[in-house]
Amino acid sequence: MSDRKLDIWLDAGLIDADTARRIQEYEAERSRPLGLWSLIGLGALAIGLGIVSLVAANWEEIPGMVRLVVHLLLIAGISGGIYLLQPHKGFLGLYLKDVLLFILAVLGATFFGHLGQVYQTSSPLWQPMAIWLILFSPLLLLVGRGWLISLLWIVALLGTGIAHWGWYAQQGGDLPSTYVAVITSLPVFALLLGISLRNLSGREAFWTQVGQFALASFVTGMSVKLIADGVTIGGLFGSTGQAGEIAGLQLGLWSAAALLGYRLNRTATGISIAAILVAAALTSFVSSIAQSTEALGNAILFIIFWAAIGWSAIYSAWRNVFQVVVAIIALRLIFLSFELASDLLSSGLGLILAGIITIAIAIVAYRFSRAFAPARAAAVERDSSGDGR
Amino acid sequence: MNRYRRFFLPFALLLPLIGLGLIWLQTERESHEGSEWDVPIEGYDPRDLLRGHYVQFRYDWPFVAEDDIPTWSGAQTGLCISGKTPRIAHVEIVPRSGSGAPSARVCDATARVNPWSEEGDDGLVRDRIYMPQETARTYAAKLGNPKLQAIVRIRVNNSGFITPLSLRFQPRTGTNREEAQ
Repeated sequence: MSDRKLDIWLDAGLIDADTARRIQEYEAERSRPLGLWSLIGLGALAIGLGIVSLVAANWEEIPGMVRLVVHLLLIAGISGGIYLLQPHKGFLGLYLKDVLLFILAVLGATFFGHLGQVYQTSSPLWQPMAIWLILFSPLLLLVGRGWLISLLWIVALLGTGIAHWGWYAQQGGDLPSTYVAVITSLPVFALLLGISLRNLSGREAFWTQVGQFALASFVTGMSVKLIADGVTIGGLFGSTGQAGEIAGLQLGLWSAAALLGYRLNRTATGISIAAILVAAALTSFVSSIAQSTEALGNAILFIIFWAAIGWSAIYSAWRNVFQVVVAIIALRLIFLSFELASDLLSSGLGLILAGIITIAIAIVAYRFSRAFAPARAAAVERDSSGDGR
Repeated sequence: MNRYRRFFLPFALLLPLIGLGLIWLQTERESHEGSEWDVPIEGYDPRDLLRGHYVQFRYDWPFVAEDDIPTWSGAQTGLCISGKTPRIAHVEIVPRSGSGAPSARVCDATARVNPWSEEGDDGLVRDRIYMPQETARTYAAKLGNPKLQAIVRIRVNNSGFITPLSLRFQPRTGTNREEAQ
């Protein structure tokens, strides 16, 4: 650690000489030979790249069967490594095992492509993705510990859903409303899984992350839907007749999920998550029923949804989330001012006006965020009581 | 929970291995199923013969007009191939089985559009075949020779999807259509 900051703090009278010395001692004790490790890492990277380029250069020469056998043997070897690392704690057990799990999962996914190349076969993307999900989910969810694995799993789950959705839509004809409602609820199901296993599993952090990524993708998807509703009649789902029916089914599904989620997690966080789900279901339903491309109405629905997230953030003291909420609502307001005054933009006066509105909204949002964001200390307190997200 | 995990870990680790192995086995078995046919090809562009390691070409299906060949995965028609493998005796556009309309002809193989092939929905009209780089020059010369007719051996698998297997040449004696008969 650099002593520069310590000197500045010492000069400013923030800490005394004794504290500075103790900090230096503490940091010296904890310091790792970073230079050495980075050289070792660089060497390992060079060896890896060398192997990859050797294989790639001779790819055509290696018979397909040999390549597939080696591929499967690699998967088997890494599986063995994970099995041996399982009882370990610390660096080996926590980080290396997650990295191995990730490599194993990627090798498993590429095996499908490799098979297709050797046998010159092809299939709809969702099929290998779904098989991969079935084969690898038990392992990833049983052993995973960090964000690498939780994010990979959520991405794979939602990616499979989207791939299947696209394939189904390509088959021609309208999709059943129930199908669309269920496939768009995949993040909600993942969220429920995260909440319910959080308390059962010994890896609370992992399941919390699964829930967080699921909730984040759900909120992103909902925002896209609310914006799309304002762009074209019928929004994301295309046909106008179905949109209301789909949103109605989602209303039922997500309300049930909110109730179930709260019953599983009767804390401030549980209430916040339930509030976001219900707000999403209601705003989406109103937006789909209204079928309007009118700028003001759509912006209001979008802002109501995000205001609900803001309320949840205050309620559960998610400081960073609250700041994001304020920023997004401010951006939506600025965008709305451009939407409403699009004809003004052609004149100099209009541009000045739009600029003033933009600056005003930014300043108000900044002050609002400073005044109302949950305190950092409160978040730490709640986290330590196991209540935080 | 820990004991629980220790019990299930071996199964969770074996599941992907066994699953991938089984899929490999199934792919291997399917690769021998279906039927193989010889189809004359044409339309390769002499300026653009070999892109990377493959030749791109157009199928010159005998007996059918190119405009009738389905080029959409939702099309309810397929190519009915009859004959004694690998010699094609006749090709006809027929309604796909399952589309309701009965097929008048008994087909030895029915090829249909595979939207997941590299050529997308155009898979029955054009295709590509991969080949080693060393032989590329020989193939390029033969493909450009007007006296030679290129013939691609394809496999029609049980789903009706076609895969080009090999490329060969024979002296051009008349029109392609006569040859295929």
